[in-house]
Amino acid sequence: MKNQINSFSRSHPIITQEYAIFTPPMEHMIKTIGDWIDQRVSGGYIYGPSRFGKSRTLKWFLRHELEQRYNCYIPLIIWIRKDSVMSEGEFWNQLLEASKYELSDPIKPKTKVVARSLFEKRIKTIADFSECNYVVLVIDEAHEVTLKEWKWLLGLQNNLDNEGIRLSIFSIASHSILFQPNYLARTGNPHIAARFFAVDMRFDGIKRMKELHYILQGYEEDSEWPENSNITYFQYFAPNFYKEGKRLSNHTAIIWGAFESLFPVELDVRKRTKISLEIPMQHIALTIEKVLRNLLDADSWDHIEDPNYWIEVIASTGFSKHMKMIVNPA
Amino acid sequence: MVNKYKNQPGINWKKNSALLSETIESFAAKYCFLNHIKPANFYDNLYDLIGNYLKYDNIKVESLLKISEIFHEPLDTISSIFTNSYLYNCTPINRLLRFEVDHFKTLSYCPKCIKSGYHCKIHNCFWLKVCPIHNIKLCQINLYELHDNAKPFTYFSIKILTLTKLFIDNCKGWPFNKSNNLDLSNIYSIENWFYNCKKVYSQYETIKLELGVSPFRYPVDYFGFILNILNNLHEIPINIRDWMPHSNNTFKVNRKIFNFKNDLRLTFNGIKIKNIIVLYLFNLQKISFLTNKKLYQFILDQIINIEKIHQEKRCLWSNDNSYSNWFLLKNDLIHYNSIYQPCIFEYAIQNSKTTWLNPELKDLSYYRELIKLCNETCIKLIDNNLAFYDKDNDNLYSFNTIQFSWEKEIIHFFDHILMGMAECYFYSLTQWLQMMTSPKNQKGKFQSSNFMDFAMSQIYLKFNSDNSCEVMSIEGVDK
Repeated sequence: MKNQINSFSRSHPIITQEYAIFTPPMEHMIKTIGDWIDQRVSGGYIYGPSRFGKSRTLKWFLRHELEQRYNCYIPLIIWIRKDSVMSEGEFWNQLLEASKYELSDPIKPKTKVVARSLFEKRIKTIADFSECNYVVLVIDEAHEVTLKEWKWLLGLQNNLDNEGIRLSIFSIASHSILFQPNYLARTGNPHIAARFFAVDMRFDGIKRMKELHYILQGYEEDSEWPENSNITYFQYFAPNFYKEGKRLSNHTAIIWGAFESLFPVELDVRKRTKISLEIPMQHIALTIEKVLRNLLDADSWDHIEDPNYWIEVIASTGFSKHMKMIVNPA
Repeated sequence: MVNKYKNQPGINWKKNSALLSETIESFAAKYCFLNHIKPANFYDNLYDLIGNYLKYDNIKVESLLKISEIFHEPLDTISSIFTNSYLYNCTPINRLLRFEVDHFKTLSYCPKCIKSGYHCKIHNCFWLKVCPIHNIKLCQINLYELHDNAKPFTYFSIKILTLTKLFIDNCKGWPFNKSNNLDLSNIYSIENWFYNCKKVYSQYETIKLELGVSPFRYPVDYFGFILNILNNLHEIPINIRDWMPHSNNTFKVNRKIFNFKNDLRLTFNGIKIKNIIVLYLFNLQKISFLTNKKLYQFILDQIINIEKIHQEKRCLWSNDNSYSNWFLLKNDLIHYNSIYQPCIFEYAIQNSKTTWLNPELKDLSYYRELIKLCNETCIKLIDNNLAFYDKDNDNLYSFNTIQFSWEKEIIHFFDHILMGMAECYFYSLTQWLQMMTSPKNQKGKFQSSNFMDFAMSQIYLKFNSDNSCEVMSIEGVDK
C-alpha cells in the first residue's frame, strides 16, 4: 500500500513543489495592488527579501484573487524578467510572450519595431477586452530592470496615455530595488522615479505565530489533491493520523519555537530591538514538505510533538544561513 | 483552481469589431494590421490558430466556432463573414478554374462605410452602384492599375492592403475606434434576396461544360451564356484579347464560343453541343417553370407554327427521308439553299413531337442528332420565339411579340423566369469576361454594357425595398 502511494505521489504538488499556500503577507500584497489599481497609480513597487513568497503570489494568487475581488476580468500582464541584459527587441518580445500572445514565436522573434508596436496593440486589446482603459503590468524580479528599459516603458506609457489608455507598472523585487528611486532621481531621471516608484509596500515574512497557524491549516484544510478529491495535502500523506484527528497546526507553538531557536543569535542579540523574527515562506514550506514526506512512513505521532525534531528539520532547510544572508546587520 | 475569467484573447483584436456581413478582406485587414501579419499569410495564420484550413465554400462549423472563440466574436457574425463569401466574390467558373476568391481587380467601397470602419460583402458585387446603407455612389479602385505587376493570386492581399490604407486614412482610431451603429437592414434585405436566389438556383441542374482543347480544357458554367440570347453581349468576342493565355490554340478556340462556331467543345452527358441556344433549350426541360402547362403549350404552339411555315415553304424536311436529306444537304446546300432552311423544330416535329419536352429523356441518340442539326438559322428562330412568362398575369409572351422596355420587363424576366440563373449571370458571365480580359489593352478591355449596369442597379434597388417588386428610379440615387 505504501509503495502504491509512493509511486503515485511522485506527481503530488508537495513532491513537485508546484503549489502555494495562501499566507497573510500574500493577502496584504494583493490588497495593496488592488488599492493601487483603484487609485490608478502609474507605478509602484513591492519589495521584500527573497524566498518570502512574492513570486508565488504572482503565479498562483494575484490574478485570481483580484478577479474575485472585482468580480470581473482584470487586465493584468505578469512578466518575470529573466535576463540581466537584453536588447530592445528581446525586451518587447519577452513582454509579448508574457502577455500570452499566441502569435509570438521565441524561435522567430519579431524585430524591435514590430514587437513594440504589437505589444502596444496588445495592451489596447487587453484594455478593450476588459472594457476599461486600464492595464496593469506587473514585473517580477524588477530589480533587474535597467534604466534603458524603464525609458522604453516610459515611452510606451506615454504613447498609451496619449490614446487614452492608462498603463500601471508595478514592480516586484528584492531589497535592492529600494535604492533605485533614489538612484534614478539623482542621476537625471527623477521623472522615471516619480512615474514607476510612486508608491511602495514591503512584503513581510511570517512574523506571528497565528500566521504560521493559518499556514499550517492551509496544508490540513485548504488544499486538495488530486483535484476534486476532497483530500488535503496532510490527509494524503498521513491518512491515519488525519482520521485520528491529529493535526500539525495543533503544534504551532512547538514549530514557532523551533524557528525562534534557529534565528541567528548574533542578529538577535545585536539588533534585538530592530530585527524581529521573520520567517521566509520557503522555509516553512520546505519544513512542512519534509515532515509530510516523513509522515508517509511514520507509525507514530510522537516525534511531531518533539521540539528537537522540528529544530532538526528546520535546520536542514538552511533557515539560519538564509536569514544571515537576507538580513543585513549593518 | 479554475479561473472563470481567463478568457483573455491570445491575439490582438478589438472585441466586437467584426461586423455582420463584413468582407473577409475587411476582417483580415484588421487582423493583419493588429498582428503585423502579411495579408498573404492571413489564411495560413488562421490555419495555425484553428487547426483547419478554410475552404471558401465549405467551411466547417467547428472552424467557425473556433474562430468565434479565438476572436471573442458572436458566431453569427463570424459565420456571416466567412461563409457565402463566394456568393458575392467568386463565380462557379472561378472556382472551377481554381481562381481564388477575391482576386478580382476592382475594389468597390462606400466612403461613408469606410469612415465607420466597415466594408460590406455587398460592396463587392460588381453590379452594385450605390451603397445600400448610405445610398451614395460607391467608389472604385482599380487594383490592377495600382499594382501593375500583380498576379491573380495576389489580389486578395492587395485588397487587404488597400482597405487598410483606406481605413487608416478615413477612420480615425481604426481598428480600435468605436464603430458607428450602421443600419444594416438594407443589407439583410439583399442578403435575403441572395439567399432566395441561391435557393431557387439550387433547384436547377447545372450542366458542366468543357471549354477548350485538351489538355487545356476548362469546365465552365452553363448559365453564363444565357444572356447571349438577349443580344447584349455580341461585342464580346471582338473585344476579347486575352484570357487564360495558356496557349494560342486555347485562346482561339475559346474565342469562338461566342460566335457559335462548330469547333467549340461543349459536352453534356458525353454529347457534344455546338450551339448555346440548343443547350439552353435542352436544359429548359429540366427547370421547374417548364412544368407550367401554359409554357408547354406555348412551345408546342410555336412548333406548330414553324411546321405551318415550313409547309407553306414546302419544306424539304416534310419528307419522310428528311434525316438522310439533311446529311446530304449538310455539306453541299445548307449555306446556299435559303428556301429549305433546316430547322430543329421541324426535325423535332418529324421525329418525336411528344418527347420534345419530355424531361424523362431516354433516347439520347435522338438528341445527339438533334444537336447536330442546329445552325444559325435555328438560333435566330428560337431566339425570336423564346417565351417570356409574366408571373403576375400568369401569361406567356413571345419576345418578338412584346414591345418591352429595359426598365421593366427585363427585370421581370430576371425576377420571374431567370431568377435562379441570375446569380450565375452576375458572377459567371461578366466577371469571368472581366477577369479574362486584359485591361492593359484598351481595345481588349471588356466594356460592360449599359444595360447590365442599369438593369442590375435596378434589381438592387428593387430588392432593396423589402422585396416589394417596386422599381426605384435610378434618379433616386444620391450621386
